[in-house]
Amino acid sequence: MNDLAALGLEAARSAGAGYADVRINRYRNQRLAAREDHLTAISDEESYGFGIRVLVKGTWGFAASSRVTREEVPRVAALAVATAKANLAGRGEAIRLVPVERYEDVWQTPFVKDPFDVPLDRKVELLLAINREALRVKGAKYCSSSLHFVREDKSLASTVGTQLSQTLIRCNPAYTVTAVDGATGRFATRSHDIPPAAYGYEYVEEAHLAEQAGRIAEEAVRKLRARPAASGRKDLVLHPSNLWLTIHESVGHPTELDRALGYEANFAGTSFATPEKLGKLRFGSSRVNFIADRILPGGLATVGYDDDGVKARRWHLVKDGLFVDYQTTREQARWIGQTSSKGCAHADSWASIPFQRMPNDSLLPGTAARSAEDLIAEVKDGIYIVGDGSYSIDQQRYNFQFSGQFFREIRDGKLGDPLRDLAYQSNTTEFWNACDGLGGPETWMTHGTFYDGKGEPGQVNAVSHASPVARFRGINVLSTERKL
Amino acid sequence: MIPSAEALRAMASKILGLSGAGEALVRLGAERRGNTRFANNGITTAGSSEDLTVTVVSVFGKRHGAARTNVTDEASLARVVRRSEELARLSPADPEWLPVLPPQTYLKAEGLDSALGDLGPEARASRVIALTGRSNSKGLLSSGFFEHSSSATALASSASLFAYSARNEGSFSTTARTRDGAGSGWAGLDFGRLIDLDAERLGRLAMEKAARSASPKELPPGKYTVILEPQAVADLMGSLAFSLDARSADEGRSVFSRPGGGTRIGERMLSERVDLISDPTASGLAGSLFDEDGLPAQRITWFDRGALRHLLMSRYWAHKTANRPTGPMANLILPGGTDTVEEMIRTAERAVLVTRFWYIRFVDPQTLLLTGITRDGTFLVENGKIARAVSNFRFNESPITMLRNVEMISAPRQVAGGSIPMAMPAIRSRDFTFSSVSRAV
Repeated sequence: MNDLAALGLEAARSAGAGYADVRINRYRNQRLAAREDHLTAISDEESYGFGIRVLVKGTWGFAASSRVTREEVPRVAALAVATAKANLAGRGEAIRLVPVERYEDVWQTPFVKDPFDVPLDRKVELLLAINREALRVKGAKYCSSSLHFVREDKSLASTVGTQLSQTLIRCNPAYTVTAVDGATGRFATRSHDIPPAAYGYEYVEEAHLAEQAGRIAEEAVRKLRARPAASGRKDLVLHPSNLWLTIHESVGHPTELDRALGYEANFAGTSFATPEKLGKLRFGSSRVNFIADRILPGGLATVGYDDDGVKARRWHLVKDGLFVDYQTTREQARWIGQTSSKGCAHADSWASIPFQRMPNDSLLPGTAARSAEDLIAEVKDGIYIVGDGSYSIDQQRYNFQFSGQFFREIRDGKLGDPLRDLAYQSNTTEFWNACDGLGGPETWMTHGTFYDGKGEPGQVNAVSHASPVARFRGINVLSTERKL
Repeated sequence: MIPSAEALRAMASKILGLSGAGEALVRLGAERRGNTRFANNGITTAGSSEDLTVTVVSVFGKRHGAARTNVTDEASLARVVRRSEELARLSPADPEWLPVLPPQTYLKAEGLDSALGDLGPEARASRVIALTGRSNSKGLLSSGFFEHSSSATALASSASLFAYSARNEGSFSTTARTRDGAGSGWAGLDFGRLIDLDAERLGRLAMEKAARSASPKELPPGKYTVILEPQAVADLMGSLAFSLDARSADEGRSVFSRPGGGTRIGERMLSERVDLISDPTASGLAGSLFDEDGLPAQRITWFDRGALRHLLMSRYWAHKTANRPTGPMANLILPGGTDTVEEMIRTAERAVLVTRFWYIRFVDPQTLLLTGITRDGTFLVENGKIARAVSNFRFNESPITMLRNVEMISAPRQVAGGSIPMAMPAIRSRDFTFSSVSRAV
């Protein structure tokens, strides 16, 4: 074990902690940004420090510092214990962690090329090539592109005896094209659909970002000239690049056990999916299966072990349409009578307190080989939506509104003209119960975000959601065109 | 203790001394944070952290690169300087780059509040325990968050710029819910002086709202006159503030772009009763005194009697369009009027009273159309009285329209949760679009 981690555990124990863990973590971020024909930003960031979490008589305390020294570690351990003691009189029920196996292991994101080892000129050239290709398209006026790479070197030592060392790598390529019609004052943007992922730089190279920039730019221009959508009930066929965000908000967040039990009430809210509904709530139609997954290849929330030292796994949240389980940590599992954690503890920094964060929650594909075209063929009056757009959901995860990047009308089983200015509104269980068609395994794709927020103080989590293309009947579509 | 100006000046000049670049800028940020979180009438987590970050921007002509670290031994500082130089050398020339700034003159903000700076876990816990005890005795469930920080930021450039600012910031917010989950109330405040925090009062407000909002009835979606409490106004203003950018307006991709070219500066876009300003010296609303280049924050009038007067102008865009840069938006203040919420209610035939909004997102930047949800206390006002609690609504509305349709406006007060400090009034506005009903409490 790292000497400093051992020192921290010993200091916490001798000050009165019944349980303690020490995380000593280094985070590296590299960001490049370009607009039109030039690079606007290039930066490397490093953040290194440690956090000590303790339980004293069933009460949490936490303290952290960026001075990783033999003098600072015992001071911070003592401060964490003092913080727990200060809270003793004000805590609710005493925290009792469910058991965990003791692990000694090393784990890393499978990658071929560490993005931090790839020469910068290749990254710069990629961004400028994307912008060049996009701006070749007539009517495309602006293009902003960026690359963001993360490398986390994390260690965890706990009084359970666990000693873990993990290296996590993530890549986030992004670009947006804007088309402007100066005469009318109208403009339209189209962001590409290539998701961030937990792979090495090979992922960026294989994504053909510049090769697709022309098509994305053309779609920005088509969107500008598209017909505005009319409000009304429509059948929707949603591409995984759109549906991932709906899954994230309407399935991922409501099945967080801390939310369901009021622990996020002051911030993001609570959840309609309360524990008495386990095994009873018809969350979706019988073809709907959601799994929570911390082992999904390329998944942004994929790890070897969580920040409680629990080994990564996958399990059902919704099985054949029925709500069956939650996302939990060692603290939470007992709240619903479970004896082991699902492994969802995560802290976004050495300075942050680990708490329950979302695994890669995914919609399983249908078993038959059905394509988007197959699903569209059975729609008389509908809309096909690609890419994620505006998104908002209420504080109990009932009522939501999502938009997209690119919309095509569906008329009599065939794709028609592009549409603009629309969003779909629904309630979570009504929406998932309206799902009557799933694409097959060949349509299953992973999308996600680097920036899922939760908690106070706010923490950011990277998470992916895989899904097939899927069809929903009779969803409320809202025209969002306005005149000022 | 957060580092003094002298300490950060010495550190910055040591780092600048290591630079071999044509120009260099050093940014230092020191921070101490503490927080206590509670839910279901009990403290759940509490913690503290300390950090010191060093960012070095190195420049060769128009090539620039930035590197940041929080490891501050001599070798690491030398390494971060070299890395920024390496990045700058590998970077192509940036035609938008302007030379690092020479010395600037800065406004003076309020001094530090040692009472807030010295808060520890016991002082936080005692305020929380008083609140949760009251909540328990009323049969309600309270949750909330109490956070404070002390920070110092310094900038130094190879052109002899030095800027320093130190701040204490605090925030306290609480949500009370009825045990059956049928009612929810919220109150919160961001503050720069501990004396401005009355946690007991905030707890009481949230608890009263929770009890009063229980068992709401549904109203059909549609256009309503709304009475927006200051927090609800602030929740909409963040998106408006974000859009006050000169460059995107000039480029034709903003609600502030004029069809046919140019911006809407000079155009009366809002009610004549609406002014919108930033004032870095405003008491209790201390924001940034300078941006990351060292450009000073100033007092700026964004809207004057409803007419757009200024848009945020970056150094580069000011240079390109022969304008003066505005500096950063330190805070946002809508000075408002003399009406009160009580009068707005008393004189309303039918209106919806909104405590706050949640999950606000842009739907269409062309019209600044936003969507979001009402939360933690939504009420129907009829014939001059609060008639009953109503279910929450999803809205699809533009703050431009809301501020154009103003009927009554109160004096401003400090609010919570903004990315910059804000003081906002309550506003009564007509024809606000609620597009669907939410069952969420």
